Order: sequence, then C-alpha cells, then structure tokens
Amino acid sequence: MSAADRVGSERLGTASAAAAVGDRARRIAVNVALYTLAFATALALSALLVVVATDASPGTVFSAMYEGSLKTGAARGLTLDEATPVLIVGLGAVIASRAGIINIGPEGQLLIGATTATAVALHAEGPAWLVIGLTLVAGAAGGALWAGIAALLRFTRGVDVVISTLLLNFIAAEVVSYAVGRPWLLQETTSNLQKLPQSDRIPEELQLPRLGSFPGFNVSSAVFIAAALVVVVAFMMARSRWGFRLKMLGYNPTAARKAGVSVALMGGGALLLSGAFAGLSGGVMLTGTVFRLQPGFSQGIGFNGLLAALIARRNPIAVVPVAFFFGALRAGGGFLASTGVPRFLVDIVQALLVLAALFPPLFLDLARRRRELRNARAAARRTAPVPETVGAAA
Amino acid sequence: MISHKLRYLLALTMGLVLVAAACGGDDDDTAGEGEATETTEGGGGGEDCWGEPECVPPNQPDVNQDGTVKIGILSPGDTNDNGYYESFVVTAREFAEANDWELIIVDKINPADAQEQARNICRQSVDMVAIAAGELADAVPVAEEDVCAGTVWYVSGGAGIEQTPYFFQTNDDVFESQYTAGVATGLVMKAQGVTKAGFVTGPELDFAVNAFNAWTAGIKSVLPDAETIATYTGDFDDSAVGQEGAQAQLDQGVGIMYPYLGGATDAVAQLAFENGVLSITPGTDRCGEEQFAISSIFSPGDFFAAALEDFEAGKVTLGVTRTFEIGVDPVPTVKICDTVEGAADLQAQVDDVMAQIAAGEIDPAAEAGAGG
Amino acid sequence: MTTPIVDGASDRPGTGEARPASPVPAVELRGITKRFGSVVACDRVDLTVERGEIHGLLGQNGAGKSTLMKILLGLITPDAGQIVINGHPVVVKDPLAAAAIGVAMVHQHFSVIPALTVWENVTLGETGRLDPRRAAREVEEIGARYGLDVDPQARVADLTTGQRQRVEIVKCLRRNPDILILDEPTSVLTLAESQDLFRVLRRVVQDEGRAVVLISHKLDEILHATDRVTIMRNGAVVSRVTTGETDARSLAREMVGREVSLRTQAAALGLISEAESAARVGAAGDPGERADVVLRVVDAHVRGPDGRRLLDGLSLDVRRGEILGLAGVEGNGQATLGQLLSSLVELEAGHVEVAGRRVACGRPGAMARAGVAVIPEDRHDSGCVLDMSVAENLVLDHLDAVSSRVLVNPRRMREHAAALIERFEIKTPSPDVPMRSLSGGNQQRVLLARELSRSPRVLVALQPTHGLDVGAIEYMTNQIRAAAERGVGVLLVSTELEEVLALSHRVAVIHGGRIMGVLPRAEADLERIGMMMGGRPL
Repeated sequence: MSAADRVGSERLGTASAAAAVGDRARRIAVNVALYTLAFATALALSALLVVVATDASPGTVFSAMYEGSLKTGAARGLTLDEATPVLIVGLGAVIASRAGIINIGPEGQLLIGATTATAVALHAEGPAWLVIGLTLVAGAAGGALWAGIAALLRFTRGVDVVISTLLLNFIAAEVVSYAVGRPWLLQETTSNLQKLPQSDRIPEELQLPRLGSFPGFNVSSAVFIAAALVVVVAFMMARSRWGFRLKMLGYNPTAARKAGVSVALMGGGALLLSGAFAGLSGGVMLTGTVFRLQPGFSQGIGFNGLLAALIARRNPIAVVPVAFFFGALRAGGGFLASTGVPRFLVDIVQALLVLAALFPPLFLDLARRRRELRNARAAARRTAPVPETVGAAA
Repeated sequence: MISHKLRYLLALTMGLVLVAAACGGDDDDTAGEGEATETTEGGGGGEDCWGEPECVPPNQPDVNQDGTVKIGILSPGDTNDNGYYESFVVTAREFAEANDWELIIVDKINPADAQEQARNICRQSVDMVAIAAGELADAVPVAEEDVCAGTVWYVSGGAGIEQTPYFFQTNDDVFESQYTAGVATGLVMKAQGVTKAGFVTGPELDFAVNAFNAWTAGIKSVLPDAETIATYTGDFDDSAVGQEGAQAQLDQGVGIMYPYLGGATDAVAQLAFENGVLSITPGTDRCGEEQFAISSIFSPGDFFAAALEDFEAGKVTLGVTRTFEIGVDPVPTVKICDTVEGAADLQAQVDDVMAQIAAGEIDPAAEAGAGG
Repeated sequence: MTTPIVDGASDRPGTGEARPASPVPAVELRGITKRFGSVVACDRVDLTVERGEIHGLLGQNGAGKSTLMKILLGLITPDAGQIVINGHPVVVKDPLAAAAIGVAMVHQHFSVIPALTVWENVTLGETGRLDPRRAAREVEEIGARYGLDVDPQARVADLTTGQRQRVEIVKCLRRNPDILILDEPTSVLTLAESQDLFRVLRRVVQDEGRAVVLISHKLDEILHATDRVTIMRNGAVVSRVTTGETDARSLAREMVGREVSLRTQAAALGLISEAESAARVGAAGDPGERADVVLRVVDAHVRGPDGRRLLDGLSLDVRRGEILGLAGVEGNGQATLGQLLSSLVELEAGHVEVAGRRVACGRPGAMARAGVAVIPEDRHDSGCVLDMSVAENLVLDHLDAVSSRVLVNPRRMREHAAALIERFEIKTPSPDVPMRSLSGGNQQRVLLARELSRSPRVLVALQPTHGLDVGAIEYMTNQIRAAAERGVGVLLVSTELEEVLALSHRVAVIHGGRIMGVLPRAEADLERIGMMMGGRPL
C-alpha cells in the first residue's frame, strides 16, 4: 500500500467516523420522537377511554398511577418490589435472545420454579439462611428443567422453541393448579377450616428480610439479588469467553459453528439459563413478596419480563430501566384499581402504556424490514421488469 | 469500552436504589405525620381497642371520622357474574344508596396480589374493608398494618377462615345448607318420579366435594335408591365446559340438575330447561325467574347485609365469627318454587328438616360423611 | 490514448424483419455523471450502442460499468447527463420505465425461483390472466427461434446453471426488448455453454436488429463475441474501439492503465498463455509427489435437505506446500466442499483426514481445530460476524490467543488486532468498529489475517478473488502463494479457469459433486479441462 493510499484510507476513516456520529445523533432523535409520540398517543387514548367508560376524570387516573408508583416512599418501594422479578426474568430473556433463541415460556418456567421452590421451602430442614438459599436454587433448577424440555425437543426432534415454550406455559399452569389442589402434594395443611387450592405459607424465617417499614420507603432485599445478577450478567456478557461465543451464536450461527460453537450446547444452555432466571424469579417472589404458591402466582410477571427484554433488545443493562418502568406500571395499576376504576380499564391503560414502550423498536424494525423488502423487490425487478402493457404486447 | 459500560451499570444500579431509598426517607416523615394524625383522630373519638379481643371500634360507621362512610370491597371473582360475587356487591350498593355511603369495588383480584390490593384500598381512607371470599384470606394480615389503622375488616368466609382479633366474619355450614337442598331435591324427585340427579361444578375443591356429598346425603334420606352424578369442569366461569358437562349428564338421563357454579350457572340451567329438565339455583332466591324448581339460598349478599346492618348500628365486634344457621337465621335456607306442583306441601317438609337440623336432631356433616 | 470513435451506420447485416436498421443509434448516453459522496462512479460518460451490434463494455471491478447500466435500467438516477433511445431523449425513473422503452438486463446472479417450473418463472410478476398453455408455447417458440433449448415444464431446481441462465434470457426476450444487457454472463458457464450463449446473442442482433451490451472483465470473450468495445477506467470512458482492429494486449493496457506484466494479474484478466504459466509454476517449485498429504477427503457423500446429491463420492488429496486448484462450473459441489471443510455439514459416507488424522466432520469447530483455515466464498455467511467488531472478528475461532480460561482479555485482544491490522494492511478507522463498516476488500483481509494467523496446515480458498479489484487480487494471490511456500497445503476453489491455471501446481476438476480428474499443471490444457468441466471424466 502506498503512502498516498494510507492517507486516503485515514481520511476515509475520519469521514466515516463523522458520518457515524451524525448517524447516531439522528438515531437518537428519531427514537426520542417516536417514544414521545407513542406515549402521548397511549395517554390520550387512556384518557378518552376513562372519560367514556367512567365518570372519573383522566387527571385523577394519571395522578393515581403516579401516586401508586412513585409519589411516596412506600409506592417507590412497591415499584421496586414489582420490578425485581420482572428484572430477573428479563435478564434471562436477554441471555436467550443474545443466543438468537426466543423463549416465550418464562411465565411457565417461573411457575414451575415457584413450585419447586415451595416444595423445598416447606420441607427442607436446616438453618434459615441455608434453606432460603436452597429454595432459590430449587426455583432456578425448576425453571431450567421446564426450559430444558423445550431444549430437548428442539435439539432432538427439531421442535420450534417458540411453540414449545409457549405451550409449556399452559401445562405449567395446570401443574401448579394440580399440585396445590392435592393434599398429598402442596395443598395447604395448616388452616383448620376451609382448605383452599394453595400451598401453606412459607415460615416467617424463610421470608426475605424487608428494609425500611411502612409508611416509609420499604423494599424486599430481593432487589439486591436482582442488582447482583445484573452486574454478573452484564460482566459475563461483555468480558467472558462465554459471552463472546453467545454473541457470535446470536449474530451468525454459521460462523459460530465454524469457529467451534455448538448450537445445541451453547443455544440449549442459553435456553436453560433463561429458564433458570425465570424459575429463580419465581423463588424470589415466593420468598420476597407472595409467600405461598397459588394458581395465579405468576401474575403475568413472566410475560412482563419477556416484554422488558424485547424493549431492551440484547442489552442486559437496558433491562434495568425497562423493568423499573414495568414495576411502576404494576404498582400504579394496582393503586388505580383501588380507587374504583374498573379492572378492565386498568388493564387497558397498562396495556396501552406497554404498547407505547414496545412501539418504537418494533416500528424501526418494521421500517428496516420494509426497506430491505423493497430492495429485494427492486433486485427481482431488475432482471425482468414487467411493464403494464406486457400482456397486450406479448 | 467495556469497563466504561460496567461503571455505567454500577452507577445506574446504585443510583436507582439510592434515589429510591433517599426519596423514601424524605417521605417517611410526611407520610408518617399523615398517618399519625389519622390515628389520633380515630383514637380521639373513643376507646382505641384494635387488636384486643372482642373490640367494638368506636364511631361506626364513619370510623375514621372524615365525614364520609367509605366501604372498600375486595373480590376474587367478577362482580358482574350474575351470581355469587354479584350478590355481594348488589347488597352493598343498596345499602350505600340508602345511607349515602361511598363504595369502592376492586374485583378479579389475584390471590397472590391480595395483600397489595388491601394496602391500596386502605390508602383510599375507607372505613370498612369487606373481603368477598376466603380465597383472599392472605389479605387479612394487612388489617394489622399501620396503613389500615382505623378500618373495620369484614370477611365473608363461606366455610370460614381462621379468626384473628382484627376482623369479624360471617360463615355458614356448607353441610347444613346443601344437605337441606338435597332433601328438597329428593322430595321434588319423589313427587315427579325422577331417579337420577346431576351436580355440575367447577374445580374439584374441598368445599365443592363436601357440598356434593351433603346434597347426595339429603337426596338419599328421601329416596334411598336415587342416583347422583357429579361433574367437575375445572372452571366455575367457563360456560362452554359447563354445558359440555351438563350435556353429558343429560345423555345419561339425569332428571334434575344442580349447577353449583359461578359465572357458568345460567348457561347450564338454560341447557337443562331446553331439555325439559328441572334445575336448582345456587346462592340467591330466583324462584320468580325462569322455571327453577328449587332455590338453595346461601347468598353472601345476605350475610353481608346482616354485617352492614350491624355496622350502621355501630355494633360490629372485631375478632368474632358469626355463623348463620339453617332453621334459625333467615339465611341460609332452601325454597321450593311455585313452579313445582304441591310446592307448599313439600316446603313444609323441608322446613321441618331445617328445624330438626337447628335442633341438632340431624347432623348433616355426619350424614354427608356416610353418604360420601 | 483514445482511439477515434467508430461512427456511422453499422456494417453488420442486421436487417431483421422486425426492426430495420436505422441510422439512429438504439441507445445514446450523453455526459452521464454520477457521484456517490466524494466518489465519482461515472464521469461524463458517453456511450453509443447501435442496432444490430454486440457492444462490449470492458473494465475492471469498480470501473463504473455496472453503475452506468443501472442508470440505463432506472435503478440509479444520474446527477447529470441524458439518455436518448432511438433518437428520443427519455427519463428512466425506474425499471418499469426502462422496460417500457425496451431495456432488459440479465444479471450476474439470477432471480429465478428454483421451486417453480420454467414457464412459471418466465411469466412471474405479470398481471392479468395467466394462460399456462400459451406461456409454455411462447417459451418453446422463443427457444426455437434463438436456439435456447429449454423445457417449459421442467422445474428450475433440476436445471443446470447454464440452463437457468437460458431461462433468464428467455424471460427477458419474451418482453421483446430493443436493448438486452448481460452482466458477466459467462462466469457461471462452461466453455461450451459460453460458446452457445454467444451464438444466441449473435442471432439476437443479426436477425432482429436488437442491440446487446455485454459487460465483462474478460478480454477473451470481449474479443471473441463483440463488434465494438467501450473501455472504462475509474468511472470514465478511456477508449472506444472496433473489436476487429484491436488485440488483447492493447485492451488490457487500456483497461488497467499501464502495461500488464504481473502474471497473476494477467491471469485474472484472462490473458495468460498456458505454456508460459505452466513453465513458471514449474520453476516456482512443485513440492512433488513425495510431499506429505495434509488434507485427504475420501469418498465424501453429502445429500441436501431436498435429497439431491451435493457431494457424490468426492475424493482428493492436498499435499504440504502445494496449491491444488479445483476448477469447475459454479454449483457443482464447490460450496458443499467448502461447508464440509468449515465443519458445517456432516458426511453421509466417507471421511476427512487432516495430517493423517481423521476429523469428526460436522462437529462444531473440528476442522478449525485440526488446522484447516477457510476463506469462504460468501464471507458474510460463515466468514465473519458483521455485527461484531474488527478486533473480535480477528479472534473468532482462536479465542485462546487472547483469553484466560474464563475471561477475554480486552488488552490482549486489542494488541492482537493491532498487530494483524498492521501486518495485513487492513484499512479500518479502529479495531473497535463493527465489521459491517469495512469495505469488501478489507473484510476479506480480516478473514485472511485471522485464518493465516493461527498457522494452519491447510488453507481452503473459495473464489478468493471474486469481486475484488486488480490490486486486491494481486495481494490475495501473493498471500496464497506465500502460504504454500511456508508449507501450507492450499486448496484453491475457483470458477475462473485462468486463476486456477495461473496459481496451481496441480489442477482438479469438479463436476456433479465428484472429481473428474487431476492433472499436473504441465499437462492441464484448456481442452482437457473443458471436457472434464462438462462432465466427461479424464
């Protein structure tokens, strides 16, 4: 390469760097605009619905959402409590999506994790700290086991992961409902009156300690488990060989295979790990906030976590604010319901806000795909353009 | 680049926790003050006895003395179910309108979320928290928390939940009411020459199984050779599976049907009517409607009405359970509808059985145990 | 340097019934200019194509030929200039407009759909009622008229590459175009098929007075098939000549801009004399029969998901320090062989040995661990990860070099990248930019750097110079030769016969997933190789 070439290449480098900076600024501007538009639309629609369906004013609805999620210390604590399991599930989902696997089943994995965790918490003997630890590990193992079914089906029978994980959600719900309805399994034994389809409450000493107390800021110490996991996952993804190979697999499975990454081991492992995170989330909910297994235990947390990962894309750090957003939405929605706004309306308002958060990335993705499709079509037309008159001419 | 990201991450995580904690700290004071004033006010009106046995909270019904009476209802089921849960709020609405009280209804609560919803409803400065069913029993410990200080808690327990000093509850004996319903069914069957009776319900839960056993025992006390079939659909509110189960029973020649269900009751009853089969209605008195043969009345609304009357009169006592007894209290009871020939005569026989139960001459629980 | 433009009426007997030759040119491009940023792709280009002629458009990759034709086809809007068709100025705003004025193009990569039949492909995209019988009849008529024999009911998946190209041409001709453009049409054809193609084109221009533009960088076929040639270099027309009045050397000089002396470069241009090349390779030192075999493929069988035999008993040996050239028409199993040596497919039967030890085919990374380096044909497929950084792409399959048991050491990764960027002269603003932002030639260098930096025993290069400019071709061929001199066994897979002949010590020919024969370079003449490429074993 001649000296002149070198200079040329450097100039080219600078130019492309400058272009990259401009590109980045433009991308940020587009994102900000899209998010603003999406949330404004969601809020306007919510307001309209509230006015039409109830006699409450939209203002009171939004102030209730705010009051329930952010206004007071207790509300903020509740938001963190709600965000914690979403965050843990979301981290797991990010791991799977990094490997290019779409795990739709965190809801079911969470339920099974909670079931195994409940079994351990109610039956294991030993010092409290040890049993808490075992309970959480059992939760993770249960979730991994449930995801493992999908992994097994995928890598032995070629069953699509999206479908198997989705369907396993329904089976998990049935498993829980069976387990808590049978006295010889997990149905409650302590109540001497009516036996409900739920497990016994786990003993006080197995409940994760709470920091602070009502009416001030108070939060379950589970939030620190989630924070630690964020650090570990982000670090491992950025710095470890595992993270490197996971990324390679997700971006280009062919190149990864050539370089020695086994799709079955690495991809299956990522699926199992995401299941373990969902199951751990179930264990954390059990020991942190809910304290007993019930049929509706998961409360949609698994799906929230999945959505959080979808919004955060492949970035484990971005899951943190998104999970916080979901936590606020759940906390605010609960408070809104308690003001007498009908439950269906609360659900719709929550769903609209989630859609608003999902819209910009999906829109950009769709726009990109349309662009690619257009290019592909143009390429197809190049060879044999079809004029309108061809039928007549031929 | 990588360490930069990590630093960012750490800062973000710690930041979030710290901000939340710090802000929480600020609010400790304000919120605490607010609570304190309320408690003082509540206590100022009279003797503050919460947590002590048999406490009669002062200033009923405006317990927190904010000038309005507010009732918060927590229901696990849909309060538009045209049945059990709806009857609960219908009663409350009638009372609220008559006395100019305010009502907040939160329904379809997931039991796992019960505690948080209970706290939320307390923050709406309600005077009474009414829990529509025992499924939400996990919310009850919240009654002891500061956020709910100065509220009266009521639980419509069905078969009852464990009593604490922080709430009062009403319950009934499922064996008594369903045994009586069985006796009425048996009498109608005998009069109409029917020998096979069907019971359609939701999940195979303890109380549903008990209800079926007691009902069967009641029928057999009249018609020892009668046959009863139970179908557990798994869902109280799924009309489709309810009708499916009912159809299967009809195909087996069932002549009278007891849809012991939530939201799916009407669909099943409708199917029975279409096939010219008698039907029993659970919960409320619906003898006026359709062609129901028997009303098995154990409506939670009726129990709640009694509780609200006490509340209005300032007589609610915390820490006690009031069990409604058949033959003694107006509810639960069983009514044979006028659509049945010789209803008055049959009703007299049913009333007789209720009196015997009240007097302890019949033990439905034992009968059901034998019958099951 | 510019030869005077040959002007005036065509002296060809191009008087077809349909379109009598007229003094007005079929296409006139006047002063076409197109800039992409600071790069001038076309600089005031004038081009005249007469009716009844095959007009060659000659130039290296990046000379502006394709851009010019895309402008004519309405795919790119020019910054300045005018398009005149049959004497009327027109604006070609999209391919539909181009079709309406009678311009059609056969692209290098086809757009036929394998699952459909020939007549279905030909009618694809048309609106209005579909009449299968009429469409099939038309395909047959066109085939008979031009000698483009193809069965309208055949499934395209069952056709050879040459036949698929015929389908493309039939598809274009059915649109009845005045001007037919072909972009590098012979790169997928055997010698015999190329001859057939040129006969068809001759008929198209002679009998019907249409105009054909043949885009090519191969001097041989330009000399053989065209009437006039326009030569482009760096976005500008440097010369217009009548084919009969020039020769290969002067065409090459115009195209490259200097005297062409480098052997490989000349080979890439299709200029080499066989004897000369054979002699030189011999002189460079054939490692000889006795050298150890480093790569041995024995009786390899691979079937595709649709049951087609992709490799059908393929066996070959590559010795230490030799370059074994594998010639063959595209689509005869080369891609599968590349996948096999990248651990991407499993063998149905047979086995692969590297330095005497069997390798578990299809086990992820097994080939790389055994010491097989691969420069894949499509570098975006298995060669690199576009969304990862240059530094990361330089260590994809030998992470051990920059990591401990668990963690990757970012400092060592950066040092490793810096060293390779320096050594292989990779132009990148930083090792941390994504691979995607590099030019094709530089991406190829990243691949080469990574594959060679881990001291492989075997280097498999699939179409290594495809799509590269002359400078990059020279660099690549030098690297390949240097690797062989260091003792690496090189398997060079190429559809460019000249490239194979210029570089190899031995030449093998692949056809239908098996080896038709292996010849020492000295005995490899075009005729024998051509026969083998056509499917006749040695």
